[in-house]
Amino acid sequence: MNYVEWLRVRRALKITLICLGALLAIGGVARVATWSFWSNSMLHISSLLNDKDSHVTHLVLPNGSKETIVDNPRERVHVTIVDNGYAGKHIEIMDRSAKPASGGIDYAGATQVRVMPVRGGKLTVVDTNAPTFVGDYAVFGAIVAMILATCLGAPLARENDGHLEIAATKPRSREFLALQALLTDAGGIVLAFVIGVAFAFVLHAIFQEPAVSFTPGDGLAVAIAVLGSLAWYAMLAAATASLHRGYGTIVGFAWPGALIVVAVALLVTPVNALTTALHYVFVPLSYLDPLRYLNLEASTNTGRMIVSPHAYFEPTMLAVLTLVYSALAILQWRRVEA
Amino acid sequence: MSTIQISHLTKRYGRFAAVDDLSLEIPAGSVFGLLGPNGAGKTTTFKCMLDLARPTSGTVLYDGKPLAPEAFEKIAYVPERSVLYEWMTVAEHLEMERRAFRAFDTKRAFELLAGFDVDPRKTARKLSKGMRTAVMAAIAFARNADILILDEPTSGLDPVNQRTVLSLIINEAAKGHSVIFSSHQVGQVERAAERIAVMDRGRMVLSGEIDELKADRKIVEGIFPSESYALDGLASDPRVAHVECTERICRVLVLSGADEIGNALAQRGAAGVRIVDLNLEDIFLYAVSPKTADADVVAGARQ
Repeated sequence: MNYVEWLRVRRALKITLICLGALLAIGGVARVATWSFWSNSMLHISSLLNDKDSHVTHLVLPNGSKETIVDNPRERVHVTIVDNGYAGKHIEIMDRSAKPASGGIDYAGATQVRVMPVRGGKLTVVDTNAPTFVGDYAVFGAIVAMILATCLGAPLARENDGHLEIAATKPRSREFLALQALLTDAGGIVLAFVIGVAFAFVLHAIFQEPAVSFTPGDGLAVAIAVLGSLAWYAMLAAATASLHRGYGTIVGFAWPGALIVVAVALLVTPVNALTTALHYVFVPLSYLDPLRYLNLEASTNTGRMIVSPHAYFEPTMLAVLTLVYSALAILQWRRVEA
Repeated sequence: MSTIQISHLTKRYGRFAAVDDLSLEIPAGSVFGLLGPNGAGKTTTFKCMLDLARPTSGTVLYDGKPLAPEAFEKIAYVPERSVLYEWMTVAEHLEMERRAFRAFDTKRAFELLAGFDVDPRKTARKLSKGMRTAVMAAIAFARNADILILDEPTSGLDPVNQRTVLSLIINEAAKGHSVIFSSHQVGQVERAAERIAVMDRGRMVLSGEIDELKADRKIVEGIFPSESYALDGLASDPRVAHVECTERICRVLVLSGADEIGNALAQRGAAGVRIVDLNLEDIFLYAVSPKTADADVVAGARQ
């Protein structure tokens, strides 16, 4: 392990933990402040509850859960709400006044909404504590890991900036020293991803009991998140490896630059001379941009249980970019003079 | 113990030659002083020796072999400017060295730092220029290296600590280690080094053992009765390095044979002839700037 790089990683992780700890504290305060909403609120059916035609029945089930049944013959709506407290709510809404709807399933965080057509209307089933996929937590992990990857970007340029006399006079080859630094940072980035996932889990747990689910699609999402962060880091390292100063500007402009490349490549369609030129410049360029492949949703669209072969394209490309950019960084650094 | 051979070393930056055809041999177990004015190419020479800069041509051999990364286990380097990591503590720098070098003596490093009055808990950014130099020197002397390459190792140090560093250099040589160091303070080089090389504008203009240089090189000063005198080809004598005549006084820098040159001046009509010993500073100045040296020697003689 490269000791100086490890100290840099440790310092960056420490700052990350402090920031995430502060966010968790804010989450805790928010949880306490919204206690009543989360424990027994019926806001989502308040209008139905207040309807004079509604017949409301409250029960306590044998497992301690509170069940509320609302029956409104005029609206032709029947609602059953099972409040499991920390474990969330299960809500079934039978609406016979609605037009028959096609079935579907949607997620909003841990809330799952299933709509099923039934004879004479539709049945909507809401679970506020549906299984949360690890892939969703991986989004947080990716954000934290990408931030750390940006902070640690330009590891070799930092050595060029006045420390090459120390860095390059160790009894190891330049290639070994560079690889050691890159691997140390890569370890830190993976650790940052784990911290981000843990942060998302704890934040979730502050509000309700997490029901974590892991599927092959989640595995792919985790791979894309980790490899995306590593490819981003490697790209920054390669772009700055031969610089003695000014590398901060490159790292700073990398985000807007990479976003513009992807945006132009994906959004501009070749309809005239200008857009055709843009298309032919930015589309090939975007294949070198790790952000193009950082599509966590794409890998989970297949119902998460089955991953289509096409979904492996993104992690494969990210792995290739990581290796190519790392090699470029090392090759450049071995030629740098003090 | 290692001999360092530098052969025809040239380092160009574009059309500018920072080091121009430098050849040197530094024997094992000696203290070697590299002198030269600013921009003479001393630091670039050190960088080429350590592979921190790639020579345009020429070779640097350690015991007959080119520098390999493993050789750094036995080579310690103090650069001319601070290369410490600003955000790291001094103790963390020592830990970095301990992890990198098998022979690094942490205990000795802490002792040396205590001697320099440096607090190891401080980050580098809180250290003065002299303290940073002291930290780098302490690290180098705790390395137990066979070869120490020190680029102005006393820069910014107070006189007491300068003396300490010079003592450490001499101690290293006593242990059989080779020390190559540069300094702008000729007195320090004279005190510590056995051999020197003087560089000017990338080229080596003088080299040799200090004692021999001082024994051989003299100023022979002739005072003539009138301003009309002729030296009759004396300036082209191979023993004569430089001739400077002003009015009735003629000063001749001789590389050897001062008595013979004195006699030659007398034969050419000099009424009075005297031979002035040179110190290393005079020799250095004559090597890089003869006019300045003349003025200096005249001033010294008048005192």
